[in-house]
Amino acid sequence: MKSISTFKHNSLKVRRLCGAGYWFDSKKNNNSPDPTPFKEKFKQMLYNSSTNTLTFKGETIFNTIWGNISLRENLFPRANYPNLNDRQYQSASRLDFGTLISDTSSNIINTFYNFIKVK
Amino acid sequence: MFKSAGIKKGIEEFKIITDKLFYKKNENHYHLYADKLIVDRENYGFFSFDDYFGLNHKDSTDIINLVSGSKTTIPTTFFGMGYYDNNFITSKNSIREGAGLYSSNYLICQLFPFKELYELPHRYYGSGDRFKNQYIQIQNERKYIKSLSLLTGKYEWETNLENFGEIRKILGVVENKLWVSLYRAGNEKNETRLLALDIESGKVIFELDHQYPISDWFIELLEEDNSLLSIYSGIGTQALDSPLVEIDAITGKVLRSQRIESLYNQNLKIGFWKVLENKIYFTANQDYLSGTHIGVLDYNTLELLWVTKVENQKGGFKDFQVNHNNIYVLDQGNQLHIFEKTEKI
Repeated sequence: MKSISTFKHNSLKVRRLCGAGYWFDSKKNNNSPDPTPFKEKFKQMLYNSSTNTLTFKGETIFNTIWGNISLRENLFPRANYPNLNDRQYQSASRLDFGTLISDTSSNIINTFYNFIKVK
Repeated sequence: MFKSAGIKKGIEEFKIITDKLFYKKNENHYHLYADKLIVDRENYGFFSFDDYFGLNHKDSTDIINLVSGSKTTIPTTFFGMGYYDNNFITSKNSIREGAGLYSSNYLICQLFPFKELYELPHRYYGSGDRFKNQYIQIQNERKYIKSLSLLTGKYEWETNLENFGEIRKILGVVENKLWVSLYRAGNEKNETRLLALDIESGKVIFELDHQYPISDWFIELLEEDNSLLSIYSGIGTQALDSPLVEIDAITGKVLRSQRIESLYNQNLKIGFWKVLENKIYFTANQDYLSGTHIGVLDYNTLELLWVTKVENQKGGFKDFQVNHNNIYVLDQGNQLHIFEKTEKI
């Protein structure tokens, strides 16, 4: 899956994650429009479920998001982390990033994977 | 005109404070540098407000007076937010309730001399932006905006802005207007909303006409001019406009809305920008998605005064700052490109 570098590259400029919409070919999933298998693949690349930690690629993506102030503020608004200094804020956001990517189900709380679309 | 004054490598973050460069190196420690000198060996964050410079440590904060150089250490975390009239808001007993959701008790402290003044009566979620004794908070998945009185601990008003979009930024307060930008997804995603709410009641008292191409993020309140300025461009390899819209923050009147035609010849599309002394300093991209150029526009005429390609950059730009003599741009490869003024432009 070469999408991680594309995703990383796109993440440099977008201001919201839905701006990084990434389309997958449904032929790779028996012509099904269901994005869940693609989300699961993304999750496996980014998150180690047995240790509940970010993988190296997950760390890379987190650092890329962190370097994009607009995207950072969209996913981890500073005001949501009361009274944490910059280092604690980054640690807490990394923890939350793990929480976000460990859940591929799309609901109101977790829309992280909504950039994955199938056509 | 500017010329390259070199590249500093391994820079994690930087800030310009009173025209001076402070930066953290990407090392296995948390050294903070000013020029080439280490000013803090275990730094958890640094910031400035009024005439002060702040250094965060694990559970304390050093406050340094930039005029006298005197240092005061306070036994709590404070990073410049929530400061007004020699007191600030801090919180304690924070509990992580979920991803990005903390509840805590709010405490109001006097800064000089440090003293805990009083605690608000409830537990609250997140923090906010302070305007005098009101604490403005964005809550409920960025649909609601609320005003908490820091004198009583009670919410004075809350306004549901869901019909306008998702609240993106609180831009500031001018006279009685609280300016807020909102983002809309779906078919109306190009219709960024700019609203003014009455700071006393929370009622929407102004909505900018949707025809103006403003950004939800690259919009700032220029406090000296009492105006709001938005400049942004789309992402693309083809020629695109970088529309500029300037709005009077007192009346809401659109002062100008125009294309920056001086950018067309070189197909420049603006990314980051800063206004300083009647000039707009900017980063821009040409054919690539990420920024490759920096330049300067005349604030009033929008004439392109100077532009150059940034050589030897790694990845896109992630931060951009200017002071009276320099332009600083940090790339994704943690290289800080420094340009210095060579003559008046």
